[in-house]
Amino acid sequence: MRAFKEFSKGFWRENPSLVLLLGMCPTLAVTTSAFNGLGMGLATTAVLIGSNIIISLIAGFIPKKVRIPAYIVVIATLVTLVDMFMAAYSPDLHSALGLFIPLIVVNCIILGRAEAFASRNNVIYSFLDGIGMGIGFAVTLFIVGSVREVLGNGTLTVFQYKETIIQYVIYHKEAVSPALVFILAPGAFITLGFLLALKNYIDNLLKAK
Amino acid sequence: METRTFKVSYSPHIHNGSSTSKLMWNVTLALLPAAVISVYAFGLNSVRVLFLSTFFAIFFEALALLMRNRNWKQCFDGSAALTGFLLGLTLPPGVSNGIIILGSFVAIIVAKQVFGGLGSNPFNPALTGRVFLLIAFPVPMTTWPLPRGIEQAKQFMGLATTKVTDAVTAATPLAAIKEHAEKALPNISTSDLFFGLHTPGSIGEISAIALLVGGIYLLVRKIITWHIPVSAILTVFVIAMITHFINPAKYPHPFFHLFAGGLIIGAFFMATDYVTAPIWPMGKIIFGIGVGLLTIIIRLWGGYPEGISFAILIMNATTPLLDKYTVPSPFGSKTMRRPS
Amino acid sequence: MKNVIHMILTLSIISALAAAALAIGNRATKDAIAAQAKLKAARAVLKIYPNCKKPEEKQIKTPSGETITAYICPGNRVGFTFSSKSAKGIPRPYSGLIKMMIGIDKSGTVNGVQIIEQSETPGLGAKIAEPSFVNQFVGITLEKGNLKVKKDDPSGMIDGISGATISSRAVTSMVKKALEFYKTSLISQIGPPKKLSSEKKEIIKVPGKIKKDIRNIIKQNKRKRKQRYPVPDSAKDQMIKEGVR
Repeated sequence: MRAFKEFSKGFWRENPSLVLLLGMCPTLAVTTSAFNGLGMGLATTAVLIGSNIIISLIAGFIPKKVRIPAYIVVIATLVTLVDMFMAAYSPDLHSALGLFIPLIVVNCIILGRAEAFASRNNVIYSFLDGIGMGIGFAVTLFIVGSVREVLGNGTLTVFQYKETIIQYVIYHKEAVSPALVFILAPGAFITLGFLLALKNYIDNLLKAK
Repeated sequence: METRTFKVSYSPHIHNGSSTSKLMWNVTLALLPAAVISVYAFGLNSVRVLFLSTFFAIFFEALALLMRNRNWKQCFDGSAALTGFLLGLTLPPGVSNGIIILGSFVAIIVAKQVFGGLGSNPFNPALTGRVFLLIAFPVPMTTWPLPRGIEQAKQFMGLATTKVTDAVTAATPLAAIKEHAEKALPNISTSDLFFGLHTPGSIGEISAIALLVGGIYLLVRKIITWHIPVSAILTVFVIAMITHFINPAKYPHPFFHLFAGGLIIGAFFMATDYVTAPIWPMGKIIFGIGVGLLTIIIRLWGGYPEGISFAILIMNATTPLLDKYTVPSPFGSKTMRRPS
Repeated sequence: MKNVIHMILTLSIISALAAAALAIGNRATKDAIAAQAKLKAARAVLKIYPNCKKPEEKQIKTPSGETITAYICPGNRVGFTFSSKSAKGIPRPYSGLIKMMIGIDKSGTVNGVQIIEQSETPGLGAKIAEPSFVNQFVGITLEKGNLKVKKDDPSGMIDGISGATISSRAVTSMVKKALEFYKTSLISQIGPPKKLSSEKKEIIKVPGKIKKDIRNIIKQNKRKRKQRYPVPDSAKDQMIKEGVR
């Protein structure tokens, strides 16, 4: 089943952050809490699905020499739209992600999928590829964010919209002082490094079988 | 006819009997005076910190070697013990056991074994562990208990002291300068810094004289060369002298910068680490100047009161480049000329 | 030649379509974004003065010359935003800018402080936004007590956050400057107390959805928060704080 394969490859086999190592900037910068990671992942997914669909539709009409500017215009438009709607309806998340929303434009995942996949495949496969890659990216960011938030702040924020906030307290800051470094930039690198190692370790175990 | 076997090998053919193990234990020996002084100043607390950091460094080394399918007995070669001991010496005497164990973990696993073990780590493991802890737990890592003998002080170096559970804590001399140079400077005596019995600070950094004794021992035994420590300390001294000359009320005199904080332990024992420092004399001098420059810049104008750990780690990153560009030309060699 | 025209045409069409999409998107979200900014300040005022549902708004000038909005509540109590750059002589925060909403009544007493914006170190300086720190300022006046961090001055009234003296010092100084500003210039700028008519209309059009949010906040301040899931007691304070922020 090709459709399923295109959909599922982003989860593990071609996971954008853990295998392709694309989109490192948001992976490291905004994952200070689980929900920030998830929000960034979902915003990227929305842009990715949109850009994959549009680009697979228009790729046939675009002369080869101007394809990159054309793709960038499409992606930038989608990102700006996401940015505006997020500012209007989820300002907390918008202020937490801040500068990194506009930076989705230069996220390698999106241009990479547009160039490597969407421009060569039909709309349905491109759509599935966008969802799969987007979910793979969002889940990875969520995991990185969870590890960092639990180690660095002692909490796990799963959901946050307006007045509703679902946050679990893993341990109390008074009893165990959290390792602040994980909320800061170095912690992001350490967490990502250990996650990459874990992923490769599991792959080796599966191969050995 | 008798048969003889000849061994054919590359030079050098003469070995002086030294080994990694011997070197590491020698450096540890050189650190002992500082450790003894700290036990006098901080009591059993410093024994606890040093023991835990050393023990767990060896433990994590063995664990990592096992995971990497190596001979786990290599953990007793002294390098892990030295890393743990150095880490312990850079911690404040009051830190909790969990923090010490985490520091040993980061030093051995994250900074050393992940990169391939002894000889492959780009950054000094003990300092990586310390900086990790400093960023992760800024409050316990900057809480300095007063040494024995001045426990009752309400004011120390012109600044108020705080009572934390059972111990009275105060700022280190460098932190006091950062906060209120005008108030603290007249209250700090250089001889206190030199002997280190009456100043708060990390376990191993309080006594300049004990560290100098150890450093000179290393120089005499030719375990380290003079290039890095001398160039680092001289750089700090010169810049401190210039700034002190410009504004004596705000910038302390050069001997203060020499004896306060971790400059001596850093310059003699950490910047000279074989694995992470350059090999060639010229490279070593540039490395030392860089360490000194970064240290004094962070101390005088940076966000942290002490900058030696950051300085050494940043300069560690330049080591491969320095090694590449400072290769000395062999004796008697000439630059090649195109025959005319 | 044909190729070049083709390229120009394609890019122009794509750009035109993109511009159209953006224009539509902008029209759809413009009002909501403006209302969100207003809502943020209104939320902070409501947390200091729970009964101040419809404050009178007035544009005022800070000592450094920026124009801010003062929210005048019944009883001539004023809430206004004050940042670490609003007056001269405030020590620089550890990183970036700190912005707070401060409520002062006519006797010159601080009724409450809410940190609206800050980018201090998480876990250290960021604790300035927690109630345990900002609530220390409630009830303070310029005359009564020494508005200083204890670490700088043993007779100071404010307990600094350990490990974050710079951030604590900046906020303390901001409160002091805000009080001085209130006394010297703000009172004359807002004029004599006015009777607030309840029929006064909102100045900015607020979409219905967000209007409902404001009403909800008012309700929540009166009623106890409904718990959606079990949490330990000590986490409740923080949750409520973060939830409303």
